[in-house]
Amino acid sequence: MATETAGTRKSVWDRLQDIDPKIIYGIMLIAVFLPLIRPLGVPIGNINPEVTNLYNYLNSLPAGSIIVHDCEISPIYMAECYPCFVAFLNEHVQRSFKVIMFTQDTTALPAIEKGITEVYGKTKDHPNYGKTFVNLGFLPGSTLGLNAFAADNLFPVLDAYGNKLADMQFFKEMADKSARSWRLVVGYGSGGVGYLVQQITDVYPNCKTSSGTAAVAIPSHYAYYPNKIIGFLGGLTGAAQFEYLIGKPGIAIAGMDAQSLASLAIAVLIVVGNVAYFAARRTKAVRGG
Amino acid sequence: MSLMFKRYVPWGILVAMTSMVAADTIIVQTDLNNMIKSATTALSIIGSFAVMVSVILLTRSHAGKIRKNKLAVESWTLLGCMWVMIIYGLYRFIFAGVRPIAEPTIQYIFNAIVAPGDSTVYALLYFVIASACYRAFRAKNMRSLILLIVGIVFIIGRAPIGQLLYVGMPDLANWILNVPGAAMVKALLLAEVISSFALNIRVLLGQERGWMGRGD
Repeated sequence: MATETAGTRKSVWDRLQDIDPKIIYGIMLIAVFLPLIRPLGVPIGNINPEVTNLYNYLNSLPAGSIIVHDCEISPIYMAECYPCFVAFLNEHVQRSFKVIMFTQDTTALPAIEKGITEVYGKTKDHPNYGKTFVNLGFLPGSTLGLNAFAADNLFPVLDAYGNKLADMQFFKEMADKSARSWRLVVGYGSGGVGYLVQQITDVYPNCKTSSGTAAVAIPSHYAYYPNKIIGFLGGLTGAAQFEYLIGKPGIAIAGMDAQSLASLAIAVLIVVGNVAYFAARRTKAVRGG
Repeated sequence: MSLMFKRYVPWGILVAMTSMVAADTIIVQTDLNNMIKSATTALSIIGSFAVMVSVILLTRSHAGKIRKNKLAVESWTLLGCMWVMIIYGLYRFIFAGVRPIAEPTIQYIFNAIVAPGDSTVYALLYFVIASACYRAFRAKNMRSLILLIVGIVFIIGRAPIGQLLYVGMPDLANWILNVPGAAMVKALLLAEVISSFALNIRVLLGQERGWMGRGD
């Protein structure tokens, strides 16, 4: 198997270990693009328990329940978190929930607009705007701002378009204009949702926490799951499973083939790298012996 | 006198505010609760102004780089993009009454340039990670072997293809997250909370003065 000659040429295994990164990039490119050209139709498979828990919890809520979205969907997390956001909104429309959206990240504002337009059709001009859904836009003040908003839902005074919150039917119908009326608060991004648990669920136990998180933050959720974080959508896979459950396939399900193949490619590359490593060690040991 | 204003006044304000916020959470007293509510509102307004301050600081920093001819093209591009957006947004708001959030051109720039550009940069990480995994994930000893196995199970198990390869793969990945993963995260979280509590006590006692800025 070895092709070396008199110590001047590297063995196949050595060369395999020092493979040019461009080749690995090429393999990954093929793994991502191939399913886009020719979909593989990999089945979604078993739904993760955290997605099922979330779905069941939402199913247990009556129509008109208030769900709040803290949309930290900056452009960098659009690929993973935006499909989660859209899947959530589609479910809320199906179940006639009331939705409040805001963000503490100024770069996430257009993502909220895009999501509302995609699901509701229109934003501030929608006939149900101010009745069943409200976009508060940027909420400054970090956790203190969130805390103040939870204590008094009219704290931001105006919505993202300059309308007075106190004049909206949405808030007029709320008997208690605090987070005691909320049933679920949903966070996004890669920072975890511990701050939502601490500021909302710990103070107002009727309101559970959930998220449409970037995959990198999934482990941080398990500190609070399933008591305070009732369930969550972990990256594109979570969004795809939720889309499947609500019967509304979208961009997440479409991206599953690419994710499957890319994950498989990484795993195969790791195995190949290790096989090459041990084979090279063995070859050197045999030569040395 | 200078030490009084530089050290003791900010520290006094901090101690007073912290005590009041702590009291607000445990005492129901209308005046105190209203005062803290006002302070929270003020903080939110200050937070909004902080965005403006960061724009000014960013402009100053990059204007300096342009003057020194250091990365001038990049700085010109950054300042050009930022100020064109700000001026255009303000112009549309003042003369047409359109808020930046509902401004179609700004929406278009975000959807057509910012979002795909940022997502691309993030996606490139995937390629770099693939290359790094290939080179660095080596089962050199027992600990790295465990890391390697867990890594592969997790990568494959969380993707739909995992179940096609081995039916129990998703359950295995979920077990890793639910049992050892959750235990580790809870321990880290507890350590973080205790250390943050200790740090806060040091700040309140005036032993930690880094937050006051240079010279103290």
